[in-house]
Amino acid sequence: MPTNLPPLCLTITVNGQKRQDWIIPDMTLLHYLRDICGLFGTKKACGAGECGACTVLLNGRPVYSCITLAAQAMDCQVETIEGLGQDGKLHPIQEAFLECGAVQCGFCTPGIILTAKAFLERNHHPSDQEIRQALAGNLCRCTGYVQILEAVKLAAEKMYGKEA
Amino acid sequence: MHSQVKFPVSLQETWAILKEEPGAFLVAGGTDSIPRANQRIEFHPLYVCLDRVPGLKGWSLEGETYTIGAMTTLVEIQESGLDPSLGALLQAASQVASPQIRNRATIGGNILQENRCIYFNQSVSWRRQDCCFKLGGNLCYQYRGSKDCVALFQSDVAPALMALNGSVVLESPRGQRVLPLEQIYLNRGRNNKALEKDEVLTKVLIPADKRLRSAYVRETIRGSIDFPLISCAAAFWMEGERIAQAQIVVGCAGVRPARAQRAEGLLVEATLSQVPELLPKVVEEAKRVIMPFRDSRVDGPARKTLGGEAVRKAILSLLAPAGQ
Repeated sequence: MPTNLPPLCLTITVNGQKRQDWIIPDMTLLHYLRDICGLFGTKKACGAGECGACTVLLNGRPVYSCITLAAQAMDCQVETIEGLGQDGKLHPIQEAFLECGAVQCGFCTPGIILTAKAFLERNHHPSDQEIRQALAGNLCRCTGYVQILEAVKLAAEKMYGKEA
Repeated sequence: MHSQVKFPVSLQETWAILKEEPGAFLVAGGTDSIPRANQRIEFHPLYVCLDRVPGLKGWSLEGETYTIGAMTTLVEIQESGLDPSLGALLQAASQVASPQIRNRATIGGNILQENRCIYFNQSVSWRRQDCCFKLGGNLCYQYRGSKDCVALFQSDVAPALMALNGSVVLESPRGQRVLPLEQIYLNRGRNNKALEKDEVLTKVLIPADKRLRSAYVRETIRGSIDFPLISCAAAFWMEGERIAQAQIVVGCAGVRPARAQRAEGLLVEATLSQVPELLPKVVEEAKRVIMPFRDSRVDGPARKTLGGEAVRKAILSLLAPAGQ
C-alpha cells in the first residue's frame, strides 16, 4: 500500500550478515525478511501470533515475526531457517527431521526447527514433556506431532550425544 | 494505511511525543496490539515503542518490596529466580500464550492488555452492520441487553499480581503515583484502565512477605496459545498452620479481575487441615463473582463451572507443606 510516511533506516544482522535497509516504518519483521531480504523460508500464515509458521530467532530466542515490527529488531541478531545449513550441509536438526519423516507439507517446519534449535541450545537432554512445552507455540496440521517429537529427540542426540 | 514508529530514548521524550501526537499509542512487546493491527481491527497512526527507554527492565528486592520493570518480558520473569512465595506470578507468567509470545510480551503490557470479546476480536469481514459499543455503536454482542461493553479482561498476570497485593508506578510529567492494581481497572469493557493519557506504567511493586504462599491456575481448552477461559490466583499469609489472611482473585471473571472477598472470609483463621472441609463452600462463594458472559469458545455456565475448578485447584495447591 502506498505511503507518504518517511522511511525508517533499519540496521540489523540477519543470519550473521549485517544489513542496512530503508523500510516502511510499521513493516513487520516477517515482511522485512520475505520482501526485502528475499528469505522465503519464514512463512506467513495466521498473521496474529497463533500458529508459529513465522517463527525466527531474535537474539537467540524464538519470536513470532508476524507480530514483531522490523523496527523492534533494530541492532538485533535475527536467524532464519536459511541461516542453519552451512557449506551445503544440513543442520543436525534438519537432518533429524528428514530421517524421522517429521516433514509433510513443510509449511510449519522452518518455525519448528528454529524453535527446537533455541530450545536444544538451552536444554541438551530434554524430556518428552519439555519438548512438547517448548514446541507448544508451533502448530502442525499434517504430521500429528509424534514424528516431530522423535525428530527433536534424535537431533538432541546428534548434537549433544546420549544422556550419560 | 501505515503507522509511523518512534523509539524514544527517555521518559521525557515519550511524554513529549504523547503530548504532541494525539494518535500516539504506546507499544511494549506488541504481542497484544500488533495482531489487532494485522487483522485490521484497529489502527494507530503512531506507535511509540518503549524498547529503548532505559530503566524499565529487570527486577530487584529493595527492603520489603519487589520491584519489577514494566518492560521485563514474561520469560525473564519465568526464569528470574524470584522467591517461590510469588508462585502465583511465576506460574501465571509461564503459562501465558506460547514460548514465542512470552519471549516478547512484557509484564507491563500484560497488565494493560485490551479486553477481548467474541465480536470485536474477529476478522472485520465477519462483523455485522450494527456496531458494538467498542466500535461506537450501542449494543453488546457478548451480553445482549447490556448497557455497556462487557468484553472480558483475559490477562493471566493481573489476577496473580492482585492476589499478591501488587501495585503499579505510573509516571507522567507531573510526577509519579503508585496505584494498587485493583484500582487501575474500571468497571467496563472498553477504555477500562484508570491511566491518564500521558502516564507510562514503569514499574510493578509487590510487597515481600515471608508468611506468603501463592498459586495460579488457569482453565483453557488447549494447553497453550489460548487465552484463559477463566483463572484463579490464590494467596495465603500464614501464621504457623493458621491462615492469617487470604486473597482469592478470579481472572476473566468479567470486565476486570474479581476479588472473591466472601470466599476469602471463610478461610481466614482456619488452619490448613480445615481447608478441605471448607472448600465446597469457598468454591461456591468464589463462583458468584464470575459474570455470566460467554467466551468465543464456551458459554457462561461452562465458564462458571470451570471457574469453580480453578479456585479449587489453586487452593488445594496451597495446602502442600512449605518448601515442597
